[in-house]
Amino acid sequence: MKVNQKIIVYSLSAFLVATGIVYFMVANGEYQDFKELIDLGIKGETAEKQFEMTFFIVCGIIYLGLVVWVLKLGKTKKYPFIASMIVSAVLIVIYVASRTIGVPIVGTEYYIGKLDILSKVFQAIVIGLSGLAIYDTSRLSIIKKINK
Amino acid sequence: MTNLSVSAQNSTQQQQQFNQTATTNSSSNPVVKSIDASILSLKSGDNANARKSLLQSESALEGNSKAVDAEKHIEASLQALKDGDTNGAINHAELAKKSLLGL
Repeated sequence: MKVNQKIIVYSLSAFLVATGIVYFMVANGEYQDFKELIDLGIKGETAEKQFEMTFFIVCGIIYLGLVVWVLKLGKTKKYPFIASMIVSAVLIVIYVASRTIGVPIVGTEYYIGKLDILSKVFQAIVIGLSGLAIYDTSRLSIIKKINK
Repeated sequence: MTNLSVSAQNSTQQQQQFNQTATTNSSSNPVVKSIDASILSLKSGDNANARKSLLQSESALEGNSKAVDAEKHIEASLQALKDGDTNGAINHAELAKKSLLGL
């Protein structure tokens, strides 16, 4: 593995971990709201909160899974980078939809929070670094083939 | 009975009153009054009371298909408050009120 590729893999892993942590923080915030709503007897909102909590926890777990995959196979394979790119892009699209046209169950949300912005910035960086890693991996495999 | 149980009971009463008054007299709408109380609390820096009033408003609007927009603005106000964005919370509370008054 070249030094450049090594830096990309470790930087990407750091951002994947950070994004996963942000999702767990958001899930924790939703859990606090959920508890408060239960205490107030607001039942309709609790179903929405439960869905959001589950969604954010799953996202956090997926990001931590991607870290393991990137660190394990990122040296030779492109798939972990492609997956990181797709997951991040899909989550950005879902977020934009939730603030504009609305998404099932949750509908349209009107507020853009600090953690939302942070996670989107991290996801954009993940997409950029993954793209760079894919380019670098392709370049290295072409060089290898030429040298053979 | 805990304070929260009292709040929940008040919210149910508010919801019943809201359903009765939403199409007749907006100024006497209890949810609008509750939103007004939250705006006043936000402006005076009493975030705990503001949160309580907003949650009561949200509870009162629950299940009302005509007030989805107002409910979403109240949720946004609560989120802004959680983020420490008082101006954002006031703006969304005002928009929720506007939306209810437009019904």
